[in-house]
Amino acid sequence: MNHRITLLFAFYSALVLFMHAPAHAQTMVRIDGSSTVYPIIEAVAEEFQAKREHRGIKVTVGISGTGGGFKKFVRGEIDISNASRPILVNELLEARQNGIEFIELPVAFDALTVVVNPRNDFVTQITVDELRKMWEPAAQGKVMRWNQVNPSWPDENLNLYGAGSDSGTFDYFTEAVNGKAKSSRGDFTASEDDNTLVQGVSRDRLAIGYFGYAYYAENKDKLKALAIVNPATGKAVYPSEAAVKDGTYAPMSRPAFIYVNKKSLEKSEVRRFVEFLLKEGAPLVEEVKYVPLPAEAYEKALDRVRKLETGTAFGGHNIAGLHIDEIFSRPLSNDVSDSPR
Amino acid sequence: MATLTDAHISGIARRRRIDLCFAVAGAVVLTLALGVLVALVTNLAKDGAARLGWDFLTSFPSRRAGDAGVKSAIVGTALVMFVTACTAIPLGIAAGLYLEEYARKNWFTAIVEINIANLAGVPSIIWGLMALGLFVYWMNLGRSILTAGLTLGLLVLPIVIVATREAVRAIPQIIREASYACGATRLQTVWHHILPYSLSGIITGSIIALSRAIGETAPLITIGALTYIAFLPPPPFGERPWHYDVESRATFDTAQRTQPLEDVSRDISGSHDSPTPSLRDGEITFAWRLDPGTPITQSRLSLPLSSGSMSLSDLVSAIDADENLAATISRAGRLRITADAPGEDPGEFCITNDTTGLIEAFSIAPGGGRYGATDWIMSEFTVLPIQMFNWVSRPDSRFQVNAAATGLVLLTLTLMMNGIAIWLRYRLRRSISW
Amino acid sequence: MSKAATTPVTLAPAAAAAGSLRRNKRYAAVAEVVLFLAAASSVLITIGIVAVLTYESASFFEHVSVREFLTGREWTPLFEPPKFGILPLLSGTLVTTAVALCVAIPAGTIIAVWLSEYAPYKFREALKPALELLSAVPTVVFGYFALQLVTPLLQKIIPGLPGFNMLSAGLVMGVMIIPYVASLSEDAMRAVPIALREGAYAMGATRVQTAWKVVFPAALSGISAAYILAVARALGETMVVAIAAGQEPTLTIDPRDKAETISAFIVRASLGDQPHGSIGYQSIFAAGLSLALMTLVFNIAGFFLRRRFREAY
Repeated sequence: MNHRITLLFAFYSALVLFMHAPAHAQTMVRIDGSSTVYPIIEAVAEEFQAKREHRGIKVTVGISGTGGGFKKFVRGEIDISNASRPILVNELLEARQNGIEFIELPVAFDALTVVVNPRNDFVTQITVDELRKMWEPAAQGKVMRWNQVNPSWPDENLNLYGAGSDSGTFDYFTEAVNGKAKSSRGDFTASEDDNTLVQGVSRDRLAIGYFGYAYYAENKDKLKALAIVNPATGKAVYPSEAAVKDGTYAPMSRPAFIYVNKKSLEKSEVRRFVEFLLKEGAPLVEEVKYVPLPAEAYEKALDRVRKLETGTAFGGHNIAGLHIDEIFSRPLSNDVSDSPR
Repeated sequence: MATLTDAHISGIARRRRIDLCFAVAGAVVLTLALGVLVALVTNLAKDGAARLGWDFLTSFPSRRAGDAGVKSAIVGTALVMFVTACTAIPLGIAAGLYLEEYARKNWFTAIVEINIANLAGVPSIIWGLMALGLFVYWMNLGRSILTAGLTLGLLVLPIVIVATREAVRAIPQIIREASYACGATRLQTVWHHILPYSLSGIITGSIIALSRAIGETAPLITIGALTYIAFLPPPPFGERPWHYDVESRATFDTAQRTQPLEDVSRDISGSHDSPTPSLRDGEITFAWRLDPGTPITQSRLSLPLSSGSMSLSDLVSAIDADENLAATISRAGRLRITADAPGEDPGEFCITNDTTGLIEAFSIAPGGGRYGATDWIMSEFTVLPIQMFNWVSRPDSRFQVNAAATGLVLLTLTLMMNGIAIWLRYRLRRSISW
Repeated sequence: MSKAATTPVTLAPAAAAAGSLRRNKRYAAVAEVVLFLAAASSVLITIGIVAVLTYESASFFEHVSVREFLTGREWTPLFEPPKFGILPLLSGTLVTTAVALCVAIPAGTIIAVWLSEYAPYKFREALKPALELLSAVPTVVFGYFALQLVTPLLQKIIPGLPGFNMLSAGLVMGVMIIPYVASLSEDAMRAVPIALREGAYAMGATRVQTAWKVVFPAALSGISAAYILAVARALGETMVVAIAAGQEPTLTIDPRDKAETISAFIVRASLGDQPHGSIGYQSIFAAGLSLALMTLVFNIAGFFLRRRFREAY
C-alpha cells in the first residue's frame, strides 16, 4: 500500500515538473466571429482538414458573433474573422492602433429572413416601415401588440425574437430597419444562438423574428418566411437565391465576409486555408444554403490575397441593400470615410 | 383508568389510515422522482440511441449531422478530467488531512472550515468568472485544457476535502494512539495508517467529484470554449506531421515581386493543385540569394518523397548531401535549411526562381520532430457537455439527435462513475469494522 | 518501525537511530507545512474569486451608480443605449428558484421522512444511492430534457405557454435538487436519537405522528440547512435556465413568462465575446457579484445551521 502511494506521489511530482516544459506552437488557423457565416466556414474547415496535404493543420472556428470576432481580430488573437457586415469605424481605428492590417474578402451572400410562426395567418408580407415600428428603440415597452404596427392585424401580443448584440445580423438588421447599427429596443428575446430564435418562433403563434436564410431553410416546416416589400419598387419579394442574385430582395440581402489578418497570411496554413476557401468554397456555400458569389468574384478575391490588398471597401460603415455585383467594384481604403456611401 | 370508547377506536383506525396514506404517498413521490430519472434516460435513448455507434464515437464534428461525432469531445473530456484530477485530488487530500489531523482549534481553522463549506456552495458559473478573470486574462493561460482542468479542479476541490475528512474521521482514535505509542511521528502515523485506511473513502469521494466535473458546462462556456474543434491535442512525444512551409521572413516587397507565391510553391512541389506539404517524388530546385542584386546560387535535389512519409532525418541527410545546402533541426522541431553563399556567412535561406528579386524566405516548418510531453495541455479543446450544448443550439433538428446521443454518452459516463463510487462505498462499509 | 525493533542494539546504530529520528522530525515538519499550505489554498481560492469579482465590478460601478443598478427596471447592457437595472434578472432568478423550491422542498421532505422512518433498511440502502444518481445527471442534460420533453408537455396542459418559460425550467430544476433536500434532511432525521422515537411509539403514536411531531421538529435545524442549501443551489443553477427559460430579461413574477436569470445572462454574454475591460465584460462580473453575494448569505446560514444540528445530540 505504502509503495503504491509513494509511487503515485513520485508520478505526480514528475507530472508537475513536466508541466513546466516549454510548449511549442501548433500549426493552427484560428477563426472566430459571426454565427451567420459559421456554417460556411465550418464546412470549408471540415473539407480543408480532411485533405491529406493539410495533415497537421488545425482549424478552430468560434461563434462569438461578428462584433465578438472583430474584438478578438483587432487584438490580433485570431487569424480570420467571420463577419456578416463590414468592419465598422471603431473596429477599424482599433485595428490601426494595434498595427493590424487586414484583407477584406466577401465570400457569399445571404438573405436576412423575417419569419413568423406557420400558424400565423394574418401576415404574409411586411414593409420596412412596419419593421421599424416594431423594432425601433422608442417602441420599447410601448408597441406590444400586432395591431399597433398595422391596424389590419389583430389585437394580440407581439412577441419579438432577434439576434444578440454581438451578432452582425443584429447590426445589419438595425442598420437596414432603424437606420443605425445597434439601435434597437431591448425587450425582446435576444440570442447569439440562432436555435433559441428558431425554437422560440416555431413554438409561439404570435412571434416574429429574423435571422440568416440558412437557419430558415433548415426549418421550413416550422417557420413561415415573410415577403419583404422592396422600398424601391414597392413589390413584395420572398427570400430566395434568385431574388438575392437579381437584387430584388432588398434591403435584406447582405454579403458575408471574412477578414484576414495580413500578418497571418505569412503563415502558409492561413494562406492555404484562404485560397482553399476561395477556390473550392462555392459548392460548399451552396450546400449550406447560402448564395455563392459569381465565379469571377472569387477570382477577384484571390487576386486581393495575392496582391495583399488591404483595407475595406466600406469606409467603416454598415451599408444596407448592396447589390451582389457591386461588391468588388468599390475601391478599397484603410481609412475611415465620412459618409456611408 | 379510561376505557376505550368507539371514538377512540375509530380515532386509532383513522390514524392508522393516515399512516398508511403517508406510507403510500412517500413511496409515490419517491417513485415519481426516480421516474423522472427514468423518463430522462428513455427520452435521451429514444432520441439518440439510433445515432450512437462506433462511428459516432470516432468521428469529428461535422456540418452534416449524420457524419458528426464526438471524438474530439471524448478526448478533450479525458484530458480535462486528467488535469482536474491532478489538481483536486492531491490538494483535497492534503487539505482534508491537515484539517482532521493537524489543525488546532483556532480562528484560522474556523475560517478555513466556513470557507470550504462556502466554496462548495459557490455556483459553478461564478467559478467560470473567476477562471475568466484569473486564468484567462491575468495568468494568460488562454482557453486551454489547463485552464479548464484547473477551473474544474478547484470547483470540485471541496468535495474531495469533505470526503477525505469524513473518511479520516471514521478511523477510530485508538489507531492513532497505537501508532504514537510505537514512537511514530504524526507524519508517520498519517502516512502509514490514516492515509491507507481512509484511501477507499477518499477514492470514492474523488470519483464523485470527477463525475460532477465531467458534466459541468457553464464555467467552460464562460472561458469561451464553445468552438468548432475537429482535431485532437498534440500527443506527448507524438510525431509532429511536417510539411513544407513557405514563410515570408524577408520583407514582403511587392515591387520586387514578380511571381505569385503559389507559383513558388509549385516549383517546390512540382504540382500546381496540391502545392504542399507532400512533395511528390522528383527533382526540386532550391535557388537562393542573400540579397537582391547578388548572384543566384542553385541546387537541384532529388528527394524520394513519396506520399510525404520520408522521415525527417532522411530529409536532413538528403539535404546535407548537397554541397551548397545544410539542414539542421532546431529544438522546436523546425527544420531549417541554410545555404552557403561563397565567401559569406550562411544567410537566411531564400527561394526564388526568377532573376529580378527576392521573393520568399523559406523554411520547412513546423512539422517534423516530436511534440513535447505537455504540449497538449495548452491546446484548445472541446468536451462532451460543450459539444452537446453546441448541438442543442443548432437550428437543424437533425443535430438534436446528435445532442441526445452525446447526452447519452455523458450520462453513461457519470452514472458509471457514480455506480462505481456507490459500489466502493458499499463494499467499504461491509469490509471495515473497527 | 518494525525494522528498528529487529535491529540488534549496539552503540553505533543508536547514533544512527538518533539521526533517523531527527530526519523523521524534519520530514514531519515539512509535511505539516505542505499540508497547511494545501488547507490554506482554499482561502486563497476564495480570495481569488472575491478579488476578481470585486475588481471588475468596481470598474463597473464607476460607470453605473449602485442605485441605478439596484432599482433600474431594464437590463440591456449590450445594446444601444445600455441600461443597467438588475431587477429583471433578479426577478427571473427568484421566480425560477421559487418554482424549483415548490417542487423540491415538499417532495424532498416527504422522501426524507419516508426513507428515514418508513423504508426498511435494505430499501433505504438501495434507494438513496439511486436518488443520488438524479443529482449526478449533468445539468446540460436536464436543460435538454426541459426544452425537449417538459415544455411540450406543459404546452398541452397550459395553452398559450411560450416555447421558453420559467415554469418548465423551474420544475426540472426542482426535480434536480430533490436529492439535495432529501439526502441532507434524511441525514438530519437519522441523527435524531432512537430514544425519542421509542418514547413516541410507547405513547401510542403512529409512525406518521412520530415522524412529523417528534423527529421532524428535533431535526429541524438540519432540515432547514438542507432547505437553505437547496435555495443556494437553485439560485446559482445555470444551464437548465439558460437552455429552457428563454433569454429575455423580463421584469415579471409570472412563471409562465420567459425570462432570464443572472446566471443565464452570464452564459449568454459569454457566448459572444465581451472584450476585456469593456462595460459589457464588467457587467458580467457585476451580475456575478450579486449572484455570489446572494448565495453566500444562504450558504453561511446553511453552514451554521448544519453545525448546530451536528452538535445537538
